[in-house]
Formats: sequence, structure tokens, C-alpha cells
Amino acid sequence: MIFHCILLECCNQIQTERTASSIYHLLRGRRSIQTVQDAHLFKLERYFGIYKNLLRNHFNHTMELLQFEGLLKRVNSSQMVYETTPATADWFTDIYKTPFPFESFAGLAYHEIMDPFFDRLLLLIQTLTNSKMDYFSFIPVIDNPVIETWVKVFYRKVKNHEEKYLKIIYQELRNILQYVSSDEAGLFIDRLTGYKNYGMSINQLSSKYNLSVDDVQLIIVNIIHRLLSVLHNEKNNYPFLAYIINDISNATLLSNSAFQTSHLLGQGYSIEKIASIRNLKINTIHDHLIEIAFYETDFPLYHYVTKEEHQDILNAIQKTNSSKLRDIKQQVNNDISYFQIRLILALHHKQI
Amino acid sequence: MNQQITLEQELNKYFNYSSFRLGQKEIIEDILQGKDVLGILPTGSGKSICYQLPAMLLEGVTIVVSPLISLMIDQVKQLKAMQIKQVIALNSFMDPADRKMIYNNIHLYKLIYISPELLQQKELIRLLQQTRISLFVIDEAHCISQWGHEFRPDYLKLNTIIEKLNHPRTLALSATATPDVQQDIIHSLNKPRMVKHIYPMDRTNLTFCIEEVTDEKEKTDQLIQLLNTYYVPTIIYFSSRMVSENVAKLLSEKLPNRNIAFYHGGMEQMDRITIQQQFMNDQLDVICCTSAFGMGINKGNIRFVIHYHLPLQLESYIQEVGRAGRDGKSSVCLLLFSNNDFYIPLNLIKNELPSEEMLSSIFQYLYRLFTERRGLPTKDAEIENLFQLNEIQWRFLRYQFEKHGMIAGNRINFHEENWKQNYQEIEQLIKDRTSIKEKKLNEILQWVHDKGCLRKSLYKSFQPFYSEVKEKCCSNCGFSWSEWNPAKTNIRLDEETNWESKLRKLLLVEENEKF
Repeated sequence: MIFHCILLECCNQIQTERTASSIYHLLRGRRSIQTVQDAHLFKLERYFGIYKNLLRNHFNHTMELLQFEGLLKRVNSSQMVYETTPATADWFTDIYKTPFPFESFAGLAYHEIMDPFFDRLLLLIQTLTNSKMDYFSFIPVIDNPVIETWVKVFYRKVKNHEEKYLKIIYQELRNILQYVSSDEAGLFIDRLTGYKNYGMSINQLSSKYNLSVDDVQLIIVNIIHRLLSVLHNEKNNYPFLAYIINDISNATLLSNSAFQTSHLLGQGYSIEKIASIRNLKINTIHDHLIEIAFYETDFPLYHYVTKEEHQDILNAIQKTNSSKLRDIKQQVNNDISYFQIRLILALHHKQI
Repeated sequence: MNQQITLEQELNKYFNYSSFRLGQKEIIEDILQGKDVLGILPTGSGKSICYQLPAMLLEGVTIVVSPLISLMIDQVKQLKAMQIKQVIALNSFMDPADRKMIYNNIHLYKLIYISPELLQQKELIRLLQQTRISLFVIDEAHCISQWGHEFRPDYLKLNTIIEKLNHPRTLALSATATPDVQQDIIHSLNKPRMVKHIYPMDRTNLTFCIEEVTDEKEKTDQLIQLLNTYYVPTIIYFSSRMVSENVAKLLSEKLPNRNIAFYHGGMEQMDRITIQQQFMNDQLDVICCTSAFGMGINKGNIRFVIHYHLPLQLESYIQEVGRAGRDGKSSVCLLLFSNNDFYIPLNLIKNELPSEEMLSSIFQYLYRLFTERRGLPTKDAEIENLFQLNEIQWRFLRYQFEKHGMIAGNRINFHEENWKQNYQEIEQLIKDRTSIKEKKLNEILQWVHDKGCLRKSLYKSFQPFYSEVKEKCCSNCGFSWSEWNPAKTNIRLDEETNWESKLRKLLLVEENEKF
């Protein structure tokens, strides 16, 4: 139900402005400027990247199911464009009676740090409990060299003090889990792995708690977001948990590739030159620029548009009251490129 | 004598085993003397020790070519868990930056697992040419043979790679190779003087049992009844992911006292590790799975292996039932068979290779790319999606195109006459391979319907002799369930407590601990 509810809420916000793919990309947290912009534009920031391993087939199938139930109407037979129906509103009224804190999702804020946080915590607990029992032949549940290295470094520091640290983890988790319901806390703990006690798979949790596989994953993400938000506000009450994400919470939001482009821009290279150095298309470099404009505070906008062009585009955005590029392009001077429009749109949404 | 003592001590030092199992020592001794060896050892006999121990003892690097990435990764994990850290698995799915880092430090490793397609990489070959290779191992060597059940085209190129590496001593290993396939391996590697170590694969502690049923309902009824009687670690094999999930669900409902889960290749990595380890750890006692489960699983007390669907050939059947009773105790292998089962494997065979329509549309696609002066997309997934090919189908085609010189890297070389001929050759090859597979399927069907001793007919094409078994031999030799009374294994059923005590238990914090 949680998954369906989120899909419907997204459709409710987006209606026919975008195809259903935009929702799919939003939930998977696609790192394209379009998806991030859409998240802002349709006020769906909190769902950004909350279901990273959602599969295309499953997504399409679920949308069709909602259509079949009369909660969505497909308006275009060649493209996946949906709108909500009168039945959707009733359905929402019903569903919101079941208390689930949808508003605690904070996807855009936490999509980057949520996985390292949880993976580090999982592997750390597995390592410390096994090490406490002098058992070193365990198979790590997290198969990621970056996480492994982090845990290794940490482990070296706390070796021979396992008991003390396990007590600290216990205290902090016990306190922080007061912020979620006891069912949710139970599910969260069932997922954790300790000494000779492997955690439950998503499917096992799904049958134990009688939830769909989608909802189990979304609930876990929701819990993690809530924990991260508590950590953000009360760092001092949870020194250990806060330490786990200490080094990643302020990382740049730029994708790796955009970061490289930004670096070259800083060295004074032109867009064309960067494209040829990096063996990428000009269009890709444009995407990076828009991403950079979106995240960096002092972006040199007037390198790329004149003041007049800027105003022209802003007027067109107001006039069309739309964020469809083609609509805007028709309203502005012919010399203005799609790239320039996208750039202004990005900055425009950033201010909203 | 001196060396004997040393070898066993070394085994104990690195792997914590006190003695060698059948065949291991003979093979290792030959390797250490610098001979090329072909080793055929039954599943579960500890094949990997045959190269893992020499890898530790020889100076330089041991390379292991292995066809399945998941298998390589499992092996590396197990070795690391045994505190053997100088091991790594290289495959083409790794992050290029990670791989680069490993390449720079390649001499630091003792044991490197490599997927066969990665060995085609010039950069890697150059690197290996500058590295001291002490042993070159071909795991699952039957993949070399067109007549084997898991033919992998990349394996055919291994002879040239061995040559490029200046002929390091070579070990070819397999659990299922008929005499024909053994000959093929030696021939393809171009090593006629390989020393053969062939060990019989029949296992006297396994009981074979085939039960014919009329439909699915009867199959699940039978499962429920048996699992209600025998509380032992059990694997149930399926041909379909979906059926494995559905039956696991049904069984969990009907058998609340058992811990049942499913496992297949479509699951997330973390869940795969979790389920596998729960089974190793006796948190689970029944696994409903596809053939993706079990490779690299080293659990001694699996008592019961059930096949819900007919496997595609006797080779995989022998491999899968070989996971039962590795501790030597009496174990049962049950195959549930209904006449409708014939169609599932037939379809699977069809889907393993591209169809004629796929072949012709891909030829057209290549031609179009050529006329537009474009190359092949760099991502395999792109082509796979475009033509709805699976990974195996595309790998097969790519190899064929390369072999015929139609593509080189991502470049397309068009030559009208040649392409026509290539098309026909590939089409014929698909037909031939499909008919080999169908022949294999027929073999297993014949076995299922055999009225004589199942043990005898199962092993007859693999080896000239087998050990006769007096009691609990097979369903055709009069086995009845009442004869089989394995000891119940302890099943952990966790009692439900509140989350705080659950957390306390997980983190090993004492109950009366004060804070």
C-alpha cells in the first residue's frame, strides 16, 4: 500500500506534465538534472531515490495495476502518461487513516548517505559481535570494498574493546529507535546480522510482517531517513551513530562526472575543449553545467547567457506557466538555445 | 617420507584440515613436480584444494579460470574467512578503477580468479606476461568441450592464452566429464602428455529415488508429507525462479515448524548472502532454489536433495545431488517426475541459444550500423535489450562474430560473400548445439524411465565401474521410505520477544547490564 500510495501521490502532483518514466527515475534517484529539477518543481523531493533498485518491469506493471483498479487513467496510448481519477481522492482519504509517516521521507537530502550509513552499521555490528566471540570465519553480509575498508579502519581502532562499543551501539540504537513504532523497530532489528545470527532477507521480512516486498524496502528506507534526521538534529546525543556518517554528510552533491567537468571549468577550459578532453558529447557537458549551476552557490551564469536573454527566458517561463522546453522555446528569440533555457530553468527552480 | 609429512602439515597450516581426501594429494604432488594434470574428482570432494594448496606453496601467482562469477566470489570470500587474504576475483563487471588498482599490485596476490572473457583483454595478458605464473588452473574444464553440457566458447581460446603465458604448468579440473569430454579437454589444450587423475563419482551413501506423479498438486502434497516426516537439512531444486518462490511460500504456510526460504539468481546480492549463510548456519533448513544455489556451498549435513523439475542433463543432476551427504552419512536424492515436465526443459534449451529470427535481425542490425559508419554499442546490455537477448545468447553470438572476423572490438567489418557464409555456419551451429542438448535431455529421460538399477544407469556413461550398494540403493532396487530414518537436526525457531531484548541479544549485551 505504501508503494501504491507514493506512486499515486507522484501522479497526483505531476498529472500529464511528464510521462510515468519521470516517476520511475525519481524513485530510483537518477542523477540527471531533469530528475532533480522535477523533484523540486512537483514538490516530490522527499521521494527522490527512495527505491533505488526498483525494476522497470515491476514499475510498469504496478502502474498498469493501478490503472486497472481505476485509480489512474492513461491519457495517451503511445506514451505512458497518466492522470488521477475521482476515485483516487477517495482512496487517499482512506489510506491516510493508516498512520504511515510519508512526510518523514527525505530522499533528496539523504539519498547519498543512507546506503553508506546503513551498510556501515550492518557490517560493523556483524564484525564486532563476531570478533567479540573470537569467531573470524564469518561471511560479510555487505559485499562492497569501500564499506569494507571503512569498517576495517574503524575495527582496528576499537579492537579488544568490542564489548564496550557493542554496549554503546546498543544504548544509542535503543534510544534512537524510540522515534519509530515498535513494529518498525522490530523489523529494522530483524534485518541486522550478528554472531551466528544472519539477518532476514527482504522476502523473509515480507512474509513475517505480512507486507509487500516493495513496502518492506520503503519502510526500511523511511526508518533510516528518520534516524538520519534525528542524528542531524541531536548529534550530541548519539556520538557513535553520528560518527558513522561524520565523513560523508557534507560530501558534494555533484555526480562524479560533473565534478570532473567542474574541475576543468575551474582551470579555464571552454565547453568544447572539455568535451574533447573528456571524449564526451557537448550535450553531456551542458548537462554537467546545469547540474553545477543547480548545486553551486556562485555559478557564473552570465558566461553562458546575456542579461537580455536571461530576462527573455524568464518572461517566457511566466507567460507559458509551463516547464516544457518546447513551449518556452517558441516564446523566445530564435538565437536562444535549449541549453540556455534549461540553465535558466534550473536556476529558476532552485530559487523556488 | 619427508615431503609427505610436509604436505599434510601445510594442509593443516593453511586450511585447518588434518588429512587429504581422495585424489587431492596425488594431484598436488604431480603439480608440485611441474606436471600438467587433468583431474576429474566428484562434486564435493574438495577439488579446489588441489590448486589452493599449491598456490600457497609455489612461488609466484596461481591463475584460476572459472566460468561463473558468483562462484569465484564465493571462493574468495571463503578463503578470506580462512584468513587467506592474498586472493582476488577479477571479472568484467568490476569498476575499471578498482581493477586498475589491482593490476598495479598484481604481484601481491597468490591466487587470482579470472573470468574467461576477461582473459581476452590485451592489457591483462601483457601484465600477466610480466608476472611469474606458477600454475594455470582451468576450473570446470568440461566447458571447453562442445559435447559438454556447459560449453563456453571463451574456453576454446585458453590454449592460445597458455601459449602466450609461456606454458605455465596447467591443471584442468572437472567433476563431470565423460571419457569423450576428457579427450576433448586434452586435445583442445594441446597437452597430450597431461597426467590423468580420474576418480569415480559414484557415492555409496546416496539413495536414488524417482517418483512419478500426475500433476503439480501431487508433487506439493508429496513434499509436504516428506518434509513433515524428515526434519533434516533439505535442498529442493526447481527450473523456474517463480515456481521456487511459490512453492516456498506454500510450504511455509503448510509447515510452520520448518524454516523455509527460496533462493535464485534474481535476488539482491545482500539477500543472496544472507539466505546462503542462514542455511549454512542452520537458521534455515529447507531451501527452494534454482541451480544458482549450491555452488561453493560446503555444508556436510545436507540429507535430502529433491528435484521438483527435471534437470536438463545427467551431468547437472549428478552435480546437484552430489551436495547431499558430504559427511558420508546416508542421504536421499528424490526426483519428482510427471509426464508434463518434458516441456519445461525443452523450452529452456530453445532459449539458451538465439533463434533464427534473432540471428537474422541481428545481421541486419550489424549491416545497418556498418552503412551508417557506426560501431557496436559499448555496453552489451544495450544490444541485449534491443533484441531481447539474454546474456548467454549474446555472449554466444559475440564470440561467433569475432571468430568469423565480422567484428573486431566494436568495429564492424562487412564483406558480403563472407557474411552470407557466416550466417549459414552460425545457423547450423545453433541447430547442432540444440540437438546435442536435446540428446542430453533424452538421456536423462531414459534414465528416469529405466527399470533397472538407477545407480548403475546413472553412472554408466561416466565411468566403467561403480560400487554396488546392498541397502537403500534406489527405488528400482526396492528402497522404501520406512528404511530411511535419519537423525533429526536441531532447528532453530526463534521465539518472538520485544525489540529491545532482540537488540540486546543481537549485540551480545548482558541482560542485567546497567548503564
